[in-house]
Amino acid sequence: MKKGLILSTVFLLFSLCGKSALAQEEAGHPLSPGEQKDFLLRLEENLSASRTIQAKFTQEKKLSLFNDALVSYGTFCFAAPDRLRWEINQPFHSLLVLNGRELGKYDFPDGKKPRRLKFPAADALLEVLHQITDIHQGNFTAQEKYYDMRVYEGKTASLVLVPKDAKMKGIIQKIEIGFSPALNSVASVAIRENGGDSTVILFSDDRLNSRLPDSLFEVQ
Amino acid sequence: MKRFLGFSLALCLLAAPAAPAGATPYPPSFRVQHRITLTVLGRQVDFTGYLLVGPSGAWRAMAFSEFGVGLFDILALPGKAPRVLKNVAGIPNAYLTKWAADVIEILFLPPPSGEQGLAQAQPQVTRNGVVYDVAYSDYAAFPPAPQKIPRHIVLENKKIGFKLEADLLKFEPMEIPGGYFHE
Repeated sequence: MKKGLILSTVFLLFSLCGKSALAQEEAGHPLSPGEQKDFLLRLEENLSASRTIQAKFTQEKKLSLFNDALVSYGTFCFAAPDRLRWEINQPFHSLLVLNGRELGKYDFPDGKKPRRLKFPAADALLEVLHQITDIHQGNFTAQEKYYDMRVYEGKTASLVLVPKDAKMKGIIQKIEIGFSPALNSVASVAIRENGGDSTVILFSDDRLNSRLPDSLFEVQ
Repeated sequence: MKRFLGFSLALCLLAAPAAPAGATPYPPSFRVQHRITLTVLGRQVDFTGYLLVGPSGAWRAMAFSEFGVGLFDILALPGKAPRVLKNVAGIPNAYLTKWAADVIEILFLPPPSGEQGLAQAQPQVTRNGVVYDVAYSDYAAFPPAPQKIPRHIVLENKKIGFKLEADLLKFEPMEIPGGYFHE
């Protein structure tokens, strides 16, 4: 369970955020502990003000050794406190829906009708998705037990998460979350793996606090 | 549950989709990406499979979650048993080096000498005592590959409740540098 949780956490953290800095190197200087505390409080206040988020995303997995990349495109929806939808539209179609304690994972084998997958690691995935919803609401306190956090500020701001767990550290070097200039949404998430591979998710066309139909989060 | 997950994920390795063997449509050297759904005893896992095949018969297969995280990485060199280079999903390595490797080789590599390969539209192949039904469909041309490549593959053994569905995402006939087959 712990192993599954760690892995799922790694997967899901990718989906957290939204819109600006890509790496802390671009985001500027590290904040002092006091500044960081103030920053995170401000961030929590801003993020928690967004009761819904809808955005497009581009996800690029770079394979350093092979000079190649896996790129996918999709849409992301979040509704506080605990509803999440992650849909990849290209180059394949898949859907992940969280609605409270319900989780649905779907593929589209005939290109049209969704097929709900009987996913074997649902409990671990559910646990982690709830961690993600926490972060979307700016509840970073909940993540402190899993990560060392460092905030960088420059043209944009970013939050760098370094795993505390040795096993997870062996997989993920760090996770960089970039924020919009207004600090009210996530602009990007970069996962730096040990060995040089990375996954970068860029969010665009985000809409905050728009009305999202309940049907988006139905688990059928 | 955990055991099933490990098993399923191991099977995921198979993820890299396929092609006929006896008269395999695949060129000697290529790289390919597939979206894979594995069904094992009624439960499913899905992932993206990434496969490199070199002209010597060396191959390397990786699987990635939909969030991009690498699940496993297997390397097979001619005359040597497949080796697991990375396995962060908690899958027993034996599943990867046996089941997954078998499926990859059935689908993408010419059959070992003395063994019958896939030569028909709906062929059946036996590997290590397990009989698989394999169906290819939706062929497309990928120049300069001389033959059309299937964009959809189903490999199934109803007896053991195993089914692999693979949809082609990207296919590139190309020289694979030897360094890609190093640890």
